[in-house]
Amino acid sequence: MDLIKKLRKSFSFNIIAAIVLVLLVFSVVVTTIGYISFINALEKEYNETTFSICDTAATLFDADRLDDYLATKGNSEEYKQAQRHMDILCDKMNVSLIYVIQVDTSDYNSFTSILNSVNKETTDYIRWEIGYKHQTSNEEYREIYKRLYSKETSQEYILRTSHLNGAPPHITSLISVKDSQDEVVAVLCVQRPLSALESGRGPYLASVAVSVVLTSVLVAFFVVNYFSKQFTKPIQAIKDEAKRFSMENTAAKRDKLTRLSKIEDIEVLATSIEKMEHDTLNYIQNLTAATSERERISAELNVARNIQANSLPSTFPAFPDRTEFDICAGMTPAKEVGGDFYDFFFIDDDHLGFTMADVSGKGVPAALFMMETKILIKERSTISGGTPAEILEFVNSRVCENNYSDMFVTVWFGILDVHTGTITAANAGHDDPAIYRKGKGFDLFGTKHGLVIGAMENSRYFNYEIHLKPGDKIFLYTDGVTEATNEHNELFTAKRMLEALNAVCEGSPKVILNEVKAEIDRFVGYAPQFDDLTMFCLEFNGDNGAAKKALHIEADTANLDEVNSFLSAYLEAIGCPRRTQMQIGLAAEEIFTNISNYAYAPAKGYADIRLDCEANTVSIVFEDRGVPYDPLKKEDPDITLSAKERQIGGLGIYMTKKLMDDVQYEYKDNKNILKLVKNF
Amino acid sequence: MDIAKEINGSKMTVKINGRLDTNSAPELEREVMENIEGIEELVFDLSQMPYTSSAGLRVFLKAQKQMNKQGNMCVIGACEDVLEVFEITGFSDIINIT
Repeated sequence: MDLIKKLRKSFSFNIIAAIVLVLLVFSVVVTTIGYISFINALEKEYNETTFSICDTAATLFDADRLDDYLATKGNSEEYKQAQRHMDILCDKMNVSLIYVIQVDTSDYNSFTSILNSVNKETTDYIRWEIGYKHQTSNEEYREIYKRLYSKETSQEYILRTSHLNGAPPHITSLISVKDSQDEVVAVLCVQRPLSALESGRGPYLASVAVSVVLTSVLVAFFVVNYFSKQFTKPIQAIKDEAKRFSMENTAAKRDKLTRLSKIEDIEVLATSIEKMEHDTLNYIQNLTAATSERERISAELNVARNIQANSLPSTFPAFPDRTEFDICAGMTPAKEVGGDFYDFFFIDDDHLGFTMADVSGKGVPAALFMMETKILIKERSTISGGTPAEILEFVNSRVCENNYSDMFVTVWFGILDVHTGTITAANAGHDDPAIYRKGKGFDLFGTKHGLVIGAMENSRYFNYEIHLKPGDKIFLYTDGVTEATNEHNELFTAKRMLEALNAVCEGSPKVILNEVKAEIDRFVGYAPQFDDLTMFCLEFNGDNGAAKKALHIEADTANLDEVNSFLSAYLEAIGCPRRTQMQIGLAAEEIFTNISNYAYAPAKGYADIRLDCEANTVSIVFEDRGVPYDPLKKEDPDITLSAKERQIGGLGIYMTKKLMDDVQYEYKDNKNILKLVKNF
Repeated sequence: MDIAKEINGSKMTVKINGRLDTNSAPELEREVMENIEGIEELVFDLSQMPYTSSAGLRVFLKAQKQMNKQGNMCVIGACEDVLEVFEITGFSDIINIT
């Protein structure tokens, strides 16, 4: 069954089977037509011959004398002679019967035999004696008799091609016998066996059948051969090749698909298949190359993402041994590599630089630009120092030098004095930071912005200060936070950000970042993240229990006691002798009083006092943003004058110089900086 | 800083109890200058004053200038630290320190 199913699906088998079937039908039709023509021709020939015999037989007797023959019951020489001649004719012509009958014309149902010859070699028939009466055999004969007697026709025949009632196949030809008055007086019948037909039919059929079958086989052979060679085999070859190609995906063997067939369509098909294989292989090759290239790029992007991720400080607590502040920061890039960045680093022991930036655009170009900016800020800060504005101006000029891609970056950069809590910052087009005041909550700290970095050479930036008290916090972010978008295309906005911040404002920076991120996630829902999400939070703790090394204080003599206790606490902590403490205290009072009275007069301002100690040397640095004034340039008072001549004033700085081991002044970054050094 | 002022005829003794600095000097100046009229002998008792700044020196100088016109002034009981300040500033040459 499986074989049959398989064969039925085979193209060659179906073609051959169809051809054989067509030839079979053709041969049957041809044989049938041939047979019918043969029978017709044979019948015609038989008929004509038999009618000739009839005509001959009719000349053997005298039609006018028939009644006399009957009356004498054949006892006349004339009758006997006629009978004899008829017998001879019957034998010689090899017919079965010749007989003359007189039909009863009243109803044609019976007839009377007059002459009757039976072939002596046949045993099928018995001779009828003259005067023998016989019933008409059937309706067919009666109708013929009628037509003959009525002169409708003069001859008729009946063909029996098969055996009937024991009689072998035969033809019976009948002619009317007319007397001299042209009246029909009898019917002459000649019955001839169809032996020639019988014997000729078999060989004829056999030869036709054989020749047709032979021709069919021959034709089938040639057709099949032709089809096989020009059609099925090429198709098979193409099929096999296509199958092989689909399994192996390799090029066809040389010339396997060429000159397969003389049929142009097949040749075109083969050529097309070959071209298709070639193209497919090329395509696969290209695709493989493209895929491996894409994989390589993807792998490199992963490395880039790692480099970028590692370039952002992400270990918290970042400075476990520093208690003055607490930092947490994080970035969630929108694509593989992002353009946002934050950074923080110590510039020296007392100053922490920290920055938040957002590069225009996303992806690899933004990431490259980000790395450049980030490195420039950090390296310039830690190597050459300077104020945030100076640093941003430097970074801007460097970025502009080679910025052919017209990218830009918004940067907020600040430097925190970890002892005083003073942040000096500059803003290059970045979002304003949010400041938390202990007990009050977060609010934006708005200032004038400079131009974004990378936009124009020679951009100028401005420093400004934010003073953090212990417990205060600063929160930095990129527009990925304020412009986080939900499914309804609504922005998160600074308002929602402040609400989120204030809901957790008393938490640690880590808690604040986590909660704000969670709030943004809740807001955004299932909407895709378009922009990098970057946040930074710093909480200022101050010097805590440890002796404070810096003080940011309003320059007012009313704050003198606070300055004194700040100094005493530190000097006591470092083991400074009491006498030296007094001397330093005296010098500090003189300087602080001077700043209080003159630096900002008539307005008020702040002073920063920073202490440091190395081995047995204490340094005390006073900074103010008042009018530039170098106290060292003031002439020393003449202490040899009498009381009357002595001037009141000028003694403070003089004493300071005397009591300290070194006093230095400089005016830098719009600040008077006076440094006192005392050994002990 | 406390100021203990004792006037006995033309003699005034001012005892300074505590640090004499920018903030406390004006008080001392006021106390002394308000009462200096007719005083011929002015004594500053510094035994309880551990510290003075230039603001304090200013008061002493002002008082000394005034007393040069009407009598004598002296400083007693100054501690080492205070004495050093007087030395550095040359005050020890113009003020009678005993």
